[in-house]
Amino acid sequence: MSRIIRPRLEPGQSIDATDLNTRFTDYSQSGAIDEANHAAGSVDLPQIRTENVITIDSLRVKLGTGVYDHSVFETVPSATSSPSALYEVGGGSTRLVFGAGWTIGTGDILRVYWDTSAEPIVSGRPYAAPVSDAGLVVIDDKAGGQFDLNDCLACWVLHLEMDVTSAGLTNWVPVPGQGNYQSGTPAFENTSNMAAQSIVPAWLEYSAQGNAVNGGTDDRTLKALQWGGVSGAYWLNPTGSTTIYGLRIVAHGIYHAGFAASSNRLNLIASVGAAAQKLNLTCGQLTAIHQRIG
Amino acid sequence: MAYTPPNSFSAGTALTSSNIQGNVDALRVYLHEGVVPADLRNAQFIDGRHVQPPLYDPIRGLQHGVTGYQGGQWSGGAAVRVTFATSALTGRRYTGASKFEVLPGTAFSLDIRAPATCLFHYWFELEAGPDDGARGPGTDERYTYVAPYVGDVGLVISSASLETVNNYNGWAATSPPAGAQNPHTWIGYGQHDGVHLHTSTGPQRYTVGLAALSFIDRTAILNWGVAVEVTYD
Repeated sequence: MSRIIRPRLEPGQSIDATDLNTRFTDYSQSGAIDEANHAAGSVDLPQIRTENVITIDSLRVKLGTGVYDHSVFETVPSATSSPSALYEVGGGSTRLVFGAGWTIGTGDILRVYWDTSAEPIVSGRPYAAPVSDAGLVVIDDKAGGQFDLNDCLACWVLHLEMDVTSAGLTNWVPVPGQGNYQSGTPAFENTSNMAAQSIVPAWLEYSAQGNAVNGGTDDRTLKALQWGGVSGAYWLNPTGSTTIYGLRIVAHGIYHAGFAASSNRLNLIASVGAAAQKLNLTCGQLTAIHQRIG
Repeated sequence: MAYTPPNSFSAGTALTSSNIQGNVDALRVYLHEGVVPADLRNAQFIDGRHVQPPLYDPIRGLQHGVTGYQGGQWSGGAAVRVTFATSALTGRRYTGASKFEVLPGTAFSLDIRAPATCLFHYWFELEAGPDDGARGPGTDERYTYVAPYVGDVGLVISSASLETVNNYNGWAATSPPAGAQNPHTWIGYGQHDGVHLHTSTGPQRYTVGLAALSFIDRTAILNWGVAVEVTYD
């Protein structure tokens, strides 16, 4: 209708049927509403309808014990056989529960963040020679012999799992892009399938200044790694609609870096597994947020 | 759909008030709720000035628009801008107190204008110690915790602490100037990141930032960054 400019009917003037019809059909101009009708006002928050323009769902839980000062912690045992059992951080009480489920549709994104504190415990040198799959490095002992110094590439793994079956939360699987280290001999996962995991170094030793000379050494220093923060992140932008009922973090180990044929991987090293090797965890947080991106 | 008068008039036909009123009523309905996209001109006619522009705060690196806030600040880019956490402030080392103190520069105060979902992102890189002084817990039991807080530093989310152990190898024994006995890359180095989710049920002045509790006499926070994503629900 744009701007309708038609003089008002003044007293004494006549009007016929055509004039009368025109005064109504003035409003019938399809495609005619323009800046004269619509552009003078601005759009801001008062005009935005509450419809979760970007964020659709969000949820956060404390992950683990909830106590940060080490006075309370939980313990993940090391695997003594392959594959490793998957230990749920928080024992099932600190997972994200989505009730009837979050449906992540095409054009949506699921973002997940987690963090916690971990203390790897190792007793002595369970990885010492003759154990050969746990990072044994044999170097010169400065006297014509050999000295065993570990490469310290062993680690614990924490990875993200989801349940896409039901709200019963009894069918956990790794999220897309992540493996669960349950296959292979020994069990392993390729680095190309580690989209949702964090690692914690398992032990630390080195040849201190004064002991290492010209590429040889005759002494080593073992250092307890103590407690340290660890965190991870993951995102999912599915090609089809996916309903997720819950998320959790599982911990397991101990693994060591390896290479086979065409892939880098982490291999389980059950040879060092024992009650004395373990991972202590205190607490952190597990957060998920479901947003529109398109 | 476009407005069509329900009644039209012809010469020689009686003009009734009900027909006139019918057209007026139909017009009123149309003008109030009957405009459809096809009625709008099929050409761009709204200028940028007709949409409320976002606010941009270059000091804090924040912008605000109809969907919320986003932005962040960091320690200064490639150049190192060190800040510190210390047991001298938090008191933990000497008195057993458990007091978090703010990390300067790592907080935002936002005027949130509607119910919102708030994500606070943070990362930091630090070197803890060496601290081999006599008082306090054992040198390998001294930590620096960094945690987010919302609203006030008294409301630290301590369960979300990210911690780094002291470089308990201590100092080199040689005469000054001497540094750490062993490098922080072996022990006492932390490169941590986290995300804290919080929701706001309505308009409020909202503060979120980082705080530290340290058992260690000096912890150098070499680099850090914080960012917020606030989306109105």
